[in-house]
Amino acid sequence: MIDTIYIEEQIEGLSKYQEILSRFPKATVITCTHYKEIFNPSAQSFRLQKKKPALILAKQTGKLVHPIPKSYGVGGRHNFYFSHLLNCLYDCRYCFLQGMYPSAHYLMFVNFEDFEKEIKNISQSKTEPTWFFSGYDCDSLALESVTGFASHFLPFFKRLPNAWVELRTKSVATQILHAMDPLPRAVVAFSFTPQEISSQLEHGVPSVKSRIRAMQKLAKQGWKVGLRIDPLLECRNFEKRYSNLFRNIFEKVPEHAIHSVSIGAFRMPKGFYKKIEKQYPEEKLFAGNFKSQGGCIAYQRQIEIQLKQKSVQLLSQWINPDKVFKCQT
Amino acid sequence: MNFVVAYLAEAQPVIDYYDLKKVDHASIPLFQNDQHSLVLSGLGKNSATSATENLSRSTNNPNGGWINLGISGHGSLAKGDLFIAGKILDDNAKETFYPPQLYASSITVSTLKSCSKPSMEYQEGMGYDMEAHAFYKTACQFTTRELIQVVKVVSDNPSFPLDQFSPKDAPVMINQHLQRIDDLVKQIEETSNTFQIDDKVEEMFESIGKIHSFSVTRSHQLQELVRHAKNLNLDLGVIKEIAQSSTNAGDAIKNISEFLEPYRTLG
Repeated sequence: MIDTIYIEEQIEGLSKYQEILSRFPKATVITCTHYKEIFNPSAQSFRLQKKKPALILAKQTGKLVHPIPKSYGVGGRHNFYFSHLLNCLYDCRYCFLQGMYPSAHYLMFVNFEDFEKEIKNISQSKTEPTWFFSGYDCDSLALESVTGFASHFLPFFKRLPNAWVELRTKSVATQILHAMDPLPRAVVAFSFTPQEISSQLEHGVPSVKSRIRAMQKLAKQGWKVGLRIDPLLECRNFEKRYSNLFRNIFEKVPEHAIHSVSIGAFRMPKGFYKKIEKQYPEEKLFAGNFKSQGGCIAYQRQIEIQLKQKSVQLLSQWINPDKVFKCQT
Repeated sequence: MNFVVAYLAEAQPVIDYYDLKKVDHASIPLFQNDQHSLVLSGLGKNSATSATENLSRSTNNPNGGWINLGISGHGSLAKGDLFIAGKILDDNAKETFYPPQLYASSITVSTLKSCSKPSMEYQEGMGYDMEAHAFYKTACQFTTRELIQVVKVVSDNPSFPLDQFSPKDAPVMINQHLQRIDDLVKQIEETSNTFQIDDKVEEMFESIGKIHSFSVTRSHQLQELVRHAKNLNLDLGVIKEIAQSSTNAGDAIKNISEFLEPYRTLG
């Protein structure tokens, strides 16, 4: 799966690096001074690299934990995100990562201990529950067999009395979670679009059915699960498709196991959108009813409101509205 | 494919394999057929830079694939081995290149250092040449890095140092790897083809553009609308009819936009 591994010279002594390297005995290993030499240059094609991404092992420096955008939370007052990995195993055509990064290589930061220190400091500086979101710039679980992220960080979060962690995923690679006791302050959040949309836009992603099954199994085990209906996409038979999706989920996963549902209509910074559209000029999604508004490309206001209202209405048949959070454009 | 090769002795097997013909009236030593172009750069970084620039002006496809092929020294590979550069250093420049390795190939990946003069240094795992870095830096101006690769055959190593190498051996050394080189060429070209502009969209855009006088802004809008119509699987002939029945450029943009509106929803 990974044929080429780039490593920063400075991390060669770290145990995490040795551990990961041992999983790819046949990979070509190329050293670099800094990951930016590989990840950042211009004249790279995200689309082409996505066919066969390399793995870059590096050390992240500077600020490692960041506040999330306003209105992106799921009920907490203090919300942060951190990224041990940039880029994703999957290839979703609506994903902002395609526009944000010049390279599709998986960039993994192996200095987990530095992330832990910063998370701990933030957590200890707050008296109220503090949220840490791990799946903004990657899928939290999809590359677990490579990164060992969840197996490392969940025990750490368990020890922090007021820290909540969200793992956000489209993966069904949940074995690591089944092997441990559910954490009381962790939410395993699954992202969904209806299967008809997923088949068109979410390349390489497990089927909706298999993700619901994974969610059901975790819920049964006692894990709190979340639903992330983001992006919400305008499509033919919108009401029927989303209604089916919600029914299929809630018939399998009991309401009490669901910590939260968040909803956000498709939106993207204009610069990212233009870059992605240029990479995929034949993509039907980008012929959608979008408008440029305030530096963002999003659905025309009226369409966005309709999509959200209809979704909230459909969800209200299944879940307490207090658990539903709307991400604003 | 655009080949940049230092000497004729290295290039001859490629010229023969692809049946390239010398372009008589070219200002550079250029060999071509319908698909491939090859330029002889001569020795060193400046020669590689100018040959790559010159070829970009003479080739049919500067945005397509580029390969720098030749012989090189190596610190650990055997004489006659083929390798592809995964990292390209320069003895006088700070910038390092990492050609993305996307292709299914059994070719060994190695680091390569471009030197200002012939090198008798043989560091473990390192190849040595005099053109790759300058070639790569220049070719990056014309296309995306994934389509630019450097492929070398080991001519000398610690056991067979450079002073024992005879340039007469180069054609045989290159020749024995031509099949694997061709496999790589095909993969790069296939990848490059995914970037080709959609001719149907371009043709229709140009055709409609002649019906009315479109300003630069409206011309961009028109191009986008035609592309969207194609992506939405609509008949581009209908788009042209709408433009023809419109009174002016602004009216055409408005009418085509309104026509597309109901189709813009995902299937």
